[in-house]
Amino acid sequence: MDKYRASGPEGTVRPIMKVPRPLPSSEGARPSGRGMDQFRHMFLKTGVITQASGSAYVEMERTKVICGVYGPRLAAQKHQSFEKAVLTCDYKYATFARKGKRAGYIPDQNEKDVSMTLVQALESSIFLDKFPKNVIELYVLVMQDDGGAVGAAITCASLALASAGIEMVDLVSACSASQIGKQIIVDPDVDEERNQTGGVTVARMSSLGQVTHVMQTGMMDLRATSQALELCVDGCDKIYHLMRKALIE
Amino acid sequence: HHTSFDMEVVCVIPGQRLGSTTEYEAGPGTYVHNNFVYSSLVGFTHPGKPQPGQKTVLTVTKDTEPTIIPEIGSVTICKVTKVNPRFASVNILCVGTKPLRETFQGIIRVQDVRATEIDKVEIYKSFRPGDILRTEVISLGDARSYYLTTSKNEL
Repeated sequence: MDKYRASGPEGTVRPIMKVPRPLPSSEGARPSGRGMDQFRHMFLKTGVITQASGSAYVEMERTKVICGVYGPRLAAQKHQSFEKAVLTCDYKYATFARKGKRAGYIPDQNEKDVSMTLVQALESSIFLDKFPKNVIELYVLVMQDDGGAVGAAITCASLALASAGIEMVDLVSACSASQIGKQIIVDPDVDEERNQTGGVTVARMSSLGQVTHVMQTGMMDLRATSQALELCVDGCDKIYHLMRKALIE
Repeated sequence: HHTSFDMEVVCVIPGQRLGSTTEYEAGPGTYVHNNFVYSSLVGFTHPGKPQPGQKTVLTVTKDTEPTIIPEIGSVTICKVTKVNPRFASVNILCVGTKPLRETFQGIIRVQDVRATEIDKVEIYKSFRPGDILRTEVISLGDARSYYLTTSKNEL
């Protein structure tokens, strides 16, 4: 009997799945009074950071995201690629952005993952081979996260890239949907996100009708996932129209 | 999102469908996908004058200064920052007549300084730090800088 190793328990037990708290209103309306497939009011503006090549600000009621684009500029040696430009992203929550916990100054693992997500969602929408040896840098700051910050960041970054005059295939809009119990709700706020059993975020180029990125978390069955994806695709198309208005003005 | 227009100047966004490739040809600021010409910039469309027998060329230009980077063959204005027996380091300030927002790095190797007697070139006698030069880009060069030349007659 070796005393150096700790042996595990003899039997096995299934993990306890998080039981979602039911939505406060029993008729199925959301606490904020929105409908199941109703998006929050969105405000978009470009040209908010004058020293950047391009910039944009997106606000969905209480979620506020700002993005600055620098570039195309000469890349440092480690980033370089001879055939096309490199897109980098630095996604950060402001220290006061999240409810309850203070974000640190150094990007943590979650922020680094979201940075990679942003690069994946936007890379295919830019003509990177027009700028070899260059780097296009995105700096995204979430000033307040009331749900849907990643989707708002993708939309904001795409608007900033367009306002910088970088040649793009299409604008990318993004939104998310959550499953709580049996309900699928669109554009969840932070309390709904915390309570979700599963969620989906979709980034889409609406004019070409192509999805650039899908992210699914949690536990969702096939029917719920396909319904959430369809709702998100419709939402992305609506956001595309708002982006278009913001750019033309 | 399909809009058709005859000789109008319209404000467009990236991904907006401009016309079909049977009537239009893709100019700067646009691209072709599935037999349609789409815009790739936020800006105004400029339909070109139609040549007989050819299609109208569609161009999209932005109202702000376009992003330019040095390309092979482009004439640039540079300022010398460092000299060394093998090459001179420069900061590329303008491409053509347009100033760059952020300077790029370039080098002029000793064999690219002039067309004749290239083995007898002494860099220090040709260039000094602070000199402004007109050069042409010969290649994208290595990791850090573009390769430039001053050996042509017009430079």
